[in-house]
Amino acid sequence: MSKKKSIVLITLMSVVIAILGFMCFASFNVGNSIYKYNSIVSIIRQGIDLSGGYYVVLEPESTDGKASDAELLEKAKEIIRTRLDDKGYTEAIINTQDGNKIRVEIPQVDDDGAVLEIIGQTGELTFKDGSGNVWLNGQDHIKGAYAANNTQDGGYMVVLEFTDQGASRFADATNTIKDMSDNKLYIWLGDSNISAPAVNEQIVSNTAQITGSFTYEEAMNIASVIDSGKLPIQYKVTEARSISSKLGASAGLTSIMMAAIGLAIIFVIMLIRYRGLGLAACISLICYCLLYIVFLAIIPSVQLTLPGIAGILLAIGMAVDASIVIFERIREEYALGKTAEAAVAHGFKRATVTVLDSNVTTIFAAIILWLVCPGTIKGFAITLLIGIVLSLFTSILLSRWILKVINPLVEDDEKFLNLKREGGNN
Amino acid sequence: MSKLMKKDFNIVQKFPLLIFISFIIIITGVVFLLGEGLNLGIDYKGGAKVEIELIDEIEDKAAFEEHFTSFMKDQGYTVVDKMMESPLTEGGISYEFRLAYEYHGARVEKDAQEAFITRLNNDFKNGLTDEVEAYLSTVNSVNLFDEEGINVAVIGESSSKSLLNRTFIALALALVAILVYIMIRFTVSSGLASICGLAHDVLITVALTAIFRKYLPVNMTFIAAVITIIGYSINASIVIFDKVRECQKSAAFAYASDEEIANYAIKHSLVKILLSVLTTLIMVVALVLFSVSTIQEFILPIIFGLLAGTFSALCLNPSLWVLFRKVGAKIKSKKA
Repeated sequence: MSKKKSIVLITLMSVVIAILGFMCFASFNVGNSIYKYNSIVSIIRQGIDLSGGYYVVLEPESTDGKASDAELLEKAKEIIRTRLDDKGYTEAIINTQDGNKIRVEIPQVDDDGAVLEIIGQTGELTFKDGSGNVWLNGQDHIKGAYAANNTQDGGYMVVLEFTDQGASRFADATNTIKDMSDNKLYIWLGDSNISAPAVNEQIVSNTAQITGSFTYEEAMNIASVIDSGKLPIQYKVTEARSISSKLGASAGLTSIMMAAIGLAIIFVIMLIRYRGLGLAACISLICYCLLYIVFLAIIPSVQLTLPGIAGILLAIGMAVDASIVIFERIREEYALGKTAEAAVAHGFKRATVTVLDSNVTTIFAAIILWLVCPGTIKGFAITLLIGIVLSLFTSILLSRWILKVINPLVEDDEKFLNLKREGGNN
Repeated sequence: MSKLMKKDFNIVQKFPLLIFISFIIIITGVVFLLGEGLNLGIDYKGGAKVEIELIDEIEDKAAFEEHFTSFMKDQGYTVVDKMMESPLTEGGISYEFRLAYEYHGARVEKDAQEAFITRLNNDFKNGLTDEVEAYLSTVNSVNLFDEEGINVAVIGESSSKSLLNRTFIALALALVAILVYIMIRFTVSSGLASICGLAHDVLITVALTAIFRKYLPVNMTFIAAVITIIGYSINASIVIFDKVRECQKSAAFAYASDEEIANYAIKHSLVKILLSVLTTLIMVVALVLFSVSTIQEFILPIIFGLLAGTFSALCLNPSLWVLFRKVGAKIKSKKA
């Protein structure tokens, strides 16, 4: 590689690193538009133990076969999801726990009571007339709702099933409403009016149809919203706990700064002992950290928790270890008599075996944990896994490449790489 | 450094002394744990948790614990386990009590538990909080209460337990996988020695944590710390046994004894391992010094584990390897 090519590549690399660094940490508004660019670091989802919040575990009450029906479980989760989204808690995480329980985690929630209410019952389903009188409600009068084909007009409609009490109330309601100037029957779920069909005659029946040439989705939506006046299975709250943020408000920035200081000290050590090799390691470590942040933000199932931070620490530690193992090997090879170039080549080759062995064992552990454990340990396993795989790439391949690039610019290989001929490992 | 290298290195011979040191630490830890009644942390057992958040430490904790327990008993509630103290992120201390599902001595069954919690909550809202606050202000020189007051929460027993049990199983599986891998890539003796080193590291970590924190928080965070230590310990072991493997393949060591190989491996891995643990410790310590208290209590086990891991990799594992080789040879000669 010629000197010129070296310089070009080094400049290119510095620019790329600078841009990546900027993208990772800077947030800013784009010119005069409403768009805001969020730093990659802020995109990383935080687990509830870092952001603080509230969590609830719901357990099905009845023990008849229904309770373990997977489909009903999914439906219940969906309903809860809708309720939370409607109330603005879009960051909530809903998972199945132990097969038939539902775990809801809501970050950054202050009012515990409000949350429980949302999950527990929510928006009462009410049927009102134009003047605001409530004629029916979801609890006592509706048995269920489903979407059905509208054979008459085409499209889909929603069919309501009443309880006996509901049927008679409905008859009364329609009887009164048909004569009103505003002859619509307003169907409310909580604060939202989901439908207002016109009532033209008294309807004595224990079913009613809401027509409006709905598409299948629309009909399903309305039906499930009505149906969600009640959850499909009766659930009971078995666990409810508010979690205060383990990090505190300003800790995010402080932690990153501290990590940076720690890294800086490590850089100094590497440079002192390994000089040129250390330089390559430092550059690849910087790339490693930046890429790590990017991947943590991109991969969807990543959720940063306190154990997750442990995983990151371990991964960074292992990345540094890999470099150390390789470089010590290079020094050994050189001490045994090889030329600088050969020592580097051979050192990388031989030490890669060791590095792979250590990393593979940790990868095994991480994969098993990821598959078997739910929740926070899963988060730990994922962050660890990403970190290790990434470190294999940067510590072995990237360092090697950087050395190749820098080499043409170096006069005295031995001095640059701090290689010594005397026997042993000093 | 070079002077140290020229010295004769016989760690293997010092094995009995070295393992004795570890033994002492572990036994001390066990004694501490048993003495405190194996306080496994509220996450594991479930029940109702009453959390009292204060601005500062209570001056006479034992007296408060006694008072609170009998005070709750008068109301019909049974406090079980010891009071737990933990720092809060934004400053302040939280004291936790676990209440059993019992009311006036009678067990509260599952379907009545929700009502139990509601009643507990209401009791506190309607006067118990004030009484606790009044008591604290008489026995402390400063008023320790802030608006947070007293918080009642439910810890579902089955949920945390099954979570933790799953994790233990996963850990066991992972350890088996690691053991098998090392046995294949290296030798059976190396594998066994590594696992023993691992067990040692975990025990020391648990023991030291118990000694310093006076209870063992068996929760997810602690387990994550333990796994981190396992990962690190394996790495250190592999560095040593990689060296051993290399020696065994090389002609120069064809007639060397196991002890000589072990000592050589230690000597020539010393720098690698020390630098490794140094760099990892720097990362960890940086986080600890300037971070919030909750991170500190989580990092402490990691630091213990790192030190234990270094110690076991350098001083214990190679000697164990020699031991296992001897045992293996004996078994073979018996068969022959």
